[in-house]
Amino acid sequence: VANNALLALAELDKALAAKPEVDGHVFSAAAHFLSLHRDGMAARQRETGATSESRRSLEHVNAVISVVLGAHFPLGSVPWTELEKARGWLIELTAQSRPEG
Amino acid sequence: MALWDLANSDCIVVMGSNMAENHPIAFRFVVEAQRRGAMVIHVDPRFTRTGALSNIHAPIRSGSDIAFLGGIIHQILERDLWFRDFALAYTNIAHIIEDGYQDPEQNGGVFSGFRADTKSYREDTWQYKNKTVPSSIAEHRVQTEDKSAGGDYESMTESPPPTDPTLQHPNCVYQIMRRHFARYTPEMVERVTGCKQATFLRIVDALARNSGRERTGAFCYAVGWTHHTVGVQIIRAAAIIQGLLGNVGRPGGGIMALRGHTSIQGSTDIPTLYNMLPTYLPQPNVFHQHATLRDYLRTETPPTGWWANMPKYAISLLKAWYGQGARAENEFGYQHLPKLTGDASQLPMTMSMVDGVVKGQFILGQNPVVGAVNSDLVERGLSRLDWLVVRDFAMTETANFWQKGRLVQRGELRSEHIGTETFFMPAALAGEKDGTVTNTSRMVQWHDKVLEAPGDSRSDLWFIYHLGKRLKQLYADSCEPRDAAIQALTWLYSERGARAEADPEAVLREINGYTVADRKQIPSFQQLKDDGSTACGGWMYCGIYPQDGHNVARSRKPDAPGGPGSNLGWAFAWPANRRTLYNRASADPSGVPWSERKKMVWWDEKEGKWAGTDVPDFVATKPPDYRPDWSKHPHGMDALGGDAPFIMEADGKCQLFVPSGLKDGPLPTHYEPPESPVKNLLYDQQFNPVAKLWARKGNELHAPQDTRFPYVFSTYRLTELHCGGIIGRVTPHTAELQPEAFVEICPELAGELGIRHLGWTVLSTLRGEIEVRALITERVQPFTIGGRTVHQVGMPWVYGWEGYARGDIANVLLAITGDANTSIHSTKAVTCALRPGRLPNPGGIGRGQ
Repeated sequence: VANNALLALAELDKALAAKPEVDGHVFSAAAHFLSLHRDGMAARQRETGATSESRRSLEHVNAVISVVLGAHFPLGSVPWTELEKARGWLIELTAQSRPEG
Repeated sequence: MALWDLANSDCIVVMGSNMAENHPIAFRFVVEAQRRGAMVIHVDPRFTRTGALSNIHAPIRSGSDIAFLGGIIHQILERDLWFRDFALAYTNIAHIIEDGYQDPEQNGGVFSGFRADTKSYREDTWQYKNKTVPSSIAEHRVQTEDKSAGGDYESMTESPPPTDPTLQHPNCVYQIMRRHFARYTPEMVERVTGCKQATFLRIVDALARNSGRERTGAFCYAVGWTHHTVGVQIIRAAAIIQGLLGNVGRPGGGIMALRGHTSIQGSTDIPTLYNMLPTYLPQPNVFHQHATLRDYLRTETPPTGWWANMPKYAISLLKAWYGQGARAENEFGYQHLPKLTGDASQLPMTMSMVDGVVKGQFILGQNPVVGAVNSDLVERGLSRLDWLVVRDFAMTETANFWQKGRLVQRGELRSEHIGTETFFMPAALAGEKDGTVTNTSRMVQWHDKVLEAPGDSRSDLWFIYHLGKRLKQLYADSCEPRDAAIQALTWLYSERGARAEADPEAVLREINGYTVADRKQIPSFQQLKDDGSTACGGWMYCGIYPQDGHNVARSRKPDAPGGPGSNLGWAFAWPANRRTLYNRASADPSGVPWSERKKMVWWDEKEGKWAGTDVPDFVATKPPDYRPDWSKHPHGMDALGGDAPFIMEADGKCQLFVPSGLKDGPLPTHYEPPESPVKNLLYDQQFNPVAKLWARKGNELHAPQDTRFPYVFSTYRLTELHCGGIIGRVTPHTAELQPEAFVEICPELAGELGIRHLGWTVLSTLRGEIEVRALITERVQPFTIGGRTVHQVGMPWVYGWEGYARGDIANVLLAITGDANTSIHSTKAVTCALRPGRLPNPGGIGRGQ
């Protein structure tokens, strides 16, 4: 789980480094790893039961995915500022999931 | 305009459509117009039945439409062919644009405001001088940048936009258009489109001759215009022509979007689109100032024009959806609405399936493995889902891709490795259910069930209703905030019969709207309120069910021979049962019809109101000489004069030049398609700089002038195989009329390549290869573009591996690219390679033997 988050983080860093250029391959890879991360969290939650913490984490990773999609397929300007924030959330999530990952 | 109003046209240009074959019911009115003396013109790469029935057929290369239409605009302006009294009074031709505006003429092929790093535009320099103009199109507002809570839009309440009626100001729209279209000479039209100058000029003359006070003309188009990366701008070019010639809001005048197959118009009105709420209200966007209902309404409500009423419509919609629980103190349930973060249309979602983001999909009334571009990528996406629900009346390629799909047949995927749990559920056909179809004229017609659907087949309404009911039961006890929207949703429709079918008239009554206190039907959207006292599922449909027991969509009373011809007793056309939008323009500024022959609406001085053969599209009692009192900062309709027919626009004028809302420029500009065998002869900029292109593995594009893919390729439909093809392919009577997929090739190219008539032919692109039989025909002809020969081939996209009539899927060849404004895919002008013979693995999917 944590590995996919780290891989997603690396892709987000690439995307932000390329700013303002939008690299579809990078965003696609970020969405892919984030989805794997989310699926892993959801599977774990199904196995062990949901806690308020696990629910919140799942909501946060879904929010990160929504922002990444918004940057990959923008309506108007690319939401770079929000993408920076999403990166911060992902770092928090990574820190949370690392001990278990 | 109403479809039947085409019969009143004096000149009809069908372009971007094979209308006779694909819209045969509508084409009856073209035939009737011709019988009455109208000139019918077909502009299309192929010579089809539409061309055969037209007075002029003008072949043009696919993707060159704006060069052709821009050429017409150039002629109209330079030869003074425009309807001056109309255009000066009713369009923004005299409006003065900001000093900083720069045209592609002087700016390297792009407009001012272009940001190369983000491939997007800022609109500041496109505005009327010292104004910020709100777009009237909610869909556009959602896609463009926030305008700081609408504060700038208030500039429209301070004074009228600056104009120069003498048209001498260098930055008035007239002068800008003259400069912009200066390059679009008849010589250039021929070099870019391949259409002979003489043919082109005959069309210009026919259009001009049949416009003015006594005569009107119409354009008819279909997806031959929309399925380009510049689709919106092609339609805009026609709108400019019609605005200049005075062919808007008048009998026989207009632009007819030929849609209506399977209620496509209805599916944008009560939308299946991701970016709009019912009847063209904007979907909230998380990156705009939409955090609260108050912010959303303040940002999205244009201060001037009819859209100033938007809060009444939005709050009434929330009341219809969330019922008694929707109160002012909880923003009428506004927070239940999902907020957009990006483009969630079909193409991005297909790619998101491949990336593993999307886990499940409902497919109703679609067959994307056949009908969506880049079919192999679609299959890859479907194979990544956890679950897939397909509802159709017969097996489709989308439902059994895991078993018979191309990727499985080629060995790239194995059925047993595809984890997608697929549910195929039988659906009722139109005659097996009650309901409505909304045709292209905004006309909603009720139809009754004529027989029971067989077996377990159910209507889509049944499915959605019971799905919603089960979801509400599932989440009834949830304490999760995310489930609150489902809990709050009103879902109280009466059930009928043993199958517990939801009553479709109950749905229509809710869409029409009612007063909350006593649940009485509302007869008109003018009675909707923004205080929560009214509920309405779609304001434009208000009046379709004005009182209990009165379903206007069911009405079938045509006018008698010699009657007014508006047929107001036949069904219901939104809004207000009006047949022609902006029909105030059928009278001159003083309210008198432009001519007796073309009268529709006029000011009745004695009665003090507008009258006519149609429902007037204007404030009923606003006199022609009304002028806003600018000292009072007028809002809403008070800010529009009695001579401003285009009431949905912020200043009531037809926008020849669009200051806000379009992502790719205020004027149509010819760019080559992203894949093209030729250089752009008009500008250095090769293709639309803000077209939606998504680089990803499996979706590679051909570079311009890539010699490996030298032929223009286009797709189209067939009369016999309706929609996605399945309905005609599984019916023996229609399948035998078009038994197998084919590619149309001209004799010259076939000779060069050694392809025989009915011989096997392989078409290839970087997305995939297919094989079909060749139809060698003179219906397609080579073009001379920029002095060299360019060949175009085409094939129907409606085949697949199911049914009696089979063949390879044309959409395998196409890439996912999107129009800059709508994200709609491009199917009409890509490039391909061609060779005689078969693929190495014949006998695979759906191939004729």
